[in-house]
Amino acid sequence: MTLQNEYAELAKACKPHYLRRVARHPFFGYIVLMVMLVVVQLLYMFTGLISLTVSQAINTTMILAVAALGVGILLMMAGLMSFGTGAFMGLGTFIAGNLLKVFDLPFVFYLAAVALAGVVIGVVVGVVSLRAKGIHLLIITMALSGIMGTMFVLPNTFTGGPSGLSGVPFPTLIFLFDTSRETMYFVVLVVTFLLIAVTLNIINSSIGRAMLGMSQSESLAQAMGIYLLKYRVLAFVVATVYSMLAGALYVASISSSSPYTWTTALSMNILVAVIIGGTAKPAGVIAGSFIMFCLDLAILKSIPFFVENPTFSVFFMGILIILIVMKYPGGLMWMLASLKYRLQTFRTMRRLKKYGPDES
Amino acid sequence: MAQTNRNRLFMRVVGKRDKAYVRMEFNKSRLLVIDAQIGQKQAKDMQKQTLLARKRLYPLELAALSQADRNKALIECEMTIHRAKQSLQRRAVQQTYLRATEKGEKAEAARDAALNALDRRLTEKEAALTARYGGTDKTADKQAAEVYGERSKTEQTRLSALAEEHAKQKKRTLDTLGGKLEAQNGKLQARFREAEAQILSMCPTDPASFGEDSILNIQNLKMYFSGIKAVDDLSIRVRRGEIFGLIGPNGAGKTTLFNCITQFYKPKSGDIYYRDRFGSLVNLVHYNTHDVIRAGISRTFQNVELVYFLSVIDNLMLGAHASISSGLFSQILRTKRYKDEEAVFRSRAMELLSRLGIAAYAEAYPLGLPYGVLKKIELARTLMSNPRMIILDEPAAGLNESETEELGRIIRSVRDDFDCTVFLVEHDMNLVMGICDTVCAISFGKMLAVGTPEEIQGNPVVQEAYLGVE
Repeated sequence: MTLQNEYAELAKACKPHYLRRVARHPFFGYIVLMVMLVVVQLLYMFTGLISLTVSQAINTTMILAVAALGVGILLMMAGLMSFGTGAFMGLGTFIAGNLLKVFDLPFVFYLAAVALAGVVIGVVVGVVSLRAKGIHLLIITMALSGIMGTMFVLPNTFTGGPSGLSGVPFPTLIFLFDTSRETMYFVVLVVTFLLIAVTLNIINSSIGRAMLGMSQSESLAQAMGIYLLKYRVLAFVVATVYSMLAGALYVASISSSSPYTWTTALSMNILVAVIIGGTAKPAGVIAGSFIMFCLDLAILKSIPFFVENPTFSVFFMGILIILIVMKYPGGLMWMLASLKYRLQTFRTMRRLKKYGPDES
Repeated sequence: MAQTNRNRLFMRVVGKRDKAYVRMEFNKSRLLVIDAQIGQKQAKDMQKQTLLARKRLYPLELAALSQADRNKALIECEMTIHRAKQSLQRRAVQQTYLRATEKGEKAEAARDAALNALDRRLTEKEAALTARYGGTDKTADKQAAEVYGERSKTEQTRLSALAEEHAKQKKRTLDTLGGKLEAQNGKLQARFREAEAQILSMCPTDPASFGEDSILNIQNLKMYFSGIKAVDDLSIRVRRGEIFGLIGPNGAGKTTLFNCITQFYKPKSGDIYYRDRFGSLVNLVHYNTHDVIRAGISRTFQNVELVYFLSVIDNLMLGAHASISSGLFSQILRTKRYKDEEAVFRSRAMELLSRLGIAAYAEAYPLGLPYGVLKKIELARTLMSNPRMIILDEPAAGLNESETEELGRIIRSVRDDFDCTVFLVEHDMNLVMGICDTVCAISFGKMLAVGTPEEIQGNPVVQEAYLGVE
């Protein structure tokens, strides 16, 4: 070994490829996504390249993706199904909307208040209903969702009755900046990013492992010292808080909330988005939400054929979902993983064929 | 009612004590982990600085050589790169040749021609390099050598100063943290003592039959399933540090007894006294199912129960769930404390895996691994919670003879090294008779005999239960 070689070896050992190191960071993909979405909004605001429809569609999708993140933890980690997401989102909009109408505080305070309310409601509902699980829990949450939906429509000052809440002012940020419909988009992105980080932390921590263990085998979980009810309620509370935060974001960026939006159908759509994603990981959930909501709202709505025949967009979405679920029941992330695996195998085989096995 | 309230209070105090204990244990191991982390960081820094020094010195070193030597070094260097570049081409040639011979063609000539061409190209390169670096002056430059010597000395001193600085920095960090942790541990110790005193005052008095050296004492345990007596008035004593085997024909109530000990079933009557790691006597009957592991009893399952969505090492981390003391928010926000805790248990998991010889599977997913490996993973998982007593439910089920033998060895070594008692239910008589210190035979929920393996083998009652009456 000569001097220069020694030097080259050392350099290789000490200096990994900087770009690769950055790309290996768990948040890298999400940061890239956020930057792309910010660019889309900037294009909409300062040039006419992106239409208002697309910007609003992305905004709505990100809000629904926040709720879907919570459902992802509930369904994919803890193995529990709930139809209450839509109703909790509605509750979040009404709480945040009323607070916004009365107080003039930075937006963080509203989010904190709504999250706190979410914790309280999640614990109460969870402790009562989570003694049941599986299909029974589904029925309980469906009934709850129905009750809440009816209560939203009843004439009262809190939800505004059948006409709903409207004229909610845009919040201020940190006492200084007033927001508008356009700038709320960025606030939504920031909150989504923070919640993605929290979700990743939950998935990769002892809590996430406990939830996965619990959903696989209860006796195993108990033998490992996992208190089942505690972790079930925790998953439920996380889902509730996420959906109520999504509601708060919704009312702040759209400044109105109709009680007829918060139905079981919405909960089902969110559930389908998570199942299409196929994992509790934010990447899968966001991909699922984009296919489920953004594809319809942004892309199909800008194709003239689908605008003229709105029925066909429903057909198209239905067939697409059926195809995805039948071909890849494990979800989009599973599809990606299997494609990646195939590519890898293909490369290895080609290398083997050309050069023979590595000498080790 | 008063009794239930008293039990609940007792359990709360026990929980408080266990929590304090877990925290103290973590604080002790946290220092080691941080030590290792700082060491790693500093080693990396040191490597970088060494490299930089080498980079600065390299031209000087070359200049100090004589012209001929310098040229030789440079040529050798470039030739190494060319040879490395050619190695793939050579392999491709070899592979083409192999494929051709497989088809039955004669391709030696083509292969030799290709290899010769590669060789020729190398020789040409070398000739070109020699022509470029022409010069065969053999006198070394003395002045340059002096400069090189001086510079290398300065670099050396600089590096040693850096090493000293590192050592100082490490000591400072560890001292600060150590002081903090010590203060924390003092508080925890006080809390621990308080709970301990409370427990002593509330403990059931030592029953006379509960020996000094026993760890588990089951007294008059009864468990019925709608009239069927699965366990009927059973009393068993397990000594500390022994391997205790429970045998019996199918349906004898072995698994029921198991589930009674680990509180998956609540026994109808009877007591299960257990001496925990602090020497106090607790009645396991009052424990919740998920609290049993905190008393130091961890178990495996008859059919391997692993989480197939988690990698092997994460499965082991699941076994440490009861020992992780970080709270909810520290996990959700992933604070330094939680990261350290995770590192502590991850290193312990790696240690256990390499002890059992399955470290290669650490990042793999359990689905599709050999059954013997899965059994070992389960055993390693029970050890993650630092148990005092391991309960194994048919560990040899589904293993072949050599694997069973290995398992026996592993169980013995685990017992010796981790200072724990092993309680196992097994059908495989070779394993039971080979490794157990005490064997207990039960049939239809009733005790048949208890003794050393030889005594049990010679016992006519046991033989009758197994083979039937002649």
